[in-house]
Amino acid sequence: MKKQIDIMELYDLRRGPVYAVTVERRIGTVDGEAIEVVRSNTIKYKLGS
Amino acid sequence: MKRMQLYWSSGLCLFLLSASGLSNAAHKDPAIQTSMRLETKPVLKLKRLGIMAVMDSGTAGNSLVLKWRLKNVSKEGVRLRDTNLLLDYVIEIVDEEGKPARLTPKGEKMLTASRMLPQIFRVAGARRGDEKANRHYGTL
Repeated sequence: MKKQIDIMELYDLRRGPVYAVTVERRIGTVDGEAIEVVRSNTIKYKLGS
Repeated sequence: MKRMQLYWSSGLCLFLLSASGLSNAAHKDPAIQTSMRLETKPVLKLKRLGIMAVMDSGTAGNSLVLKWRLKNVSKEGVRLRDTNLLLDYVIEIVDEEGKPARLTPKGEKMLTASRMLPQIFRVAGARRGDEKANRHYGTL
């Protein structure tokens, strides 16, 4: 399942700082008793680099 | 004057008694108990799926595209909701100090709109039956 989004549309990012970007997905377990979380790798990004 | 004070204090006592009764009733209400249980669900690390994310500076001047791929890394099939990107996924952007990035006005609108979706799906599912509600689910 592939997804993409233009984050400049969503977030007001400034030139200068290094941002750490992660994507997270939460789904309920089959029995519904817990929430499972999957996190992506962290991307370090500096605007204008 | 003393009679007025007596009335006030007895009124206050009655109010406190009724408030404690209401809170006891709220704890016995199954709907409230369910919502309390949902909030305290344990969070586990998911081993069935993996996400690989990359950043791609778009060809257009002011775009920065975040791309990711959700992959099933288990042998079993995984069925999950596939509705709205901002509803299904959480994108976390923090600077060096750990401060979260601010949303643009458009971003705020998009996020608010995505939060309205669960209610719409719930109503749609109840009205049209399970088959149409199931189209918002994907299998990996």
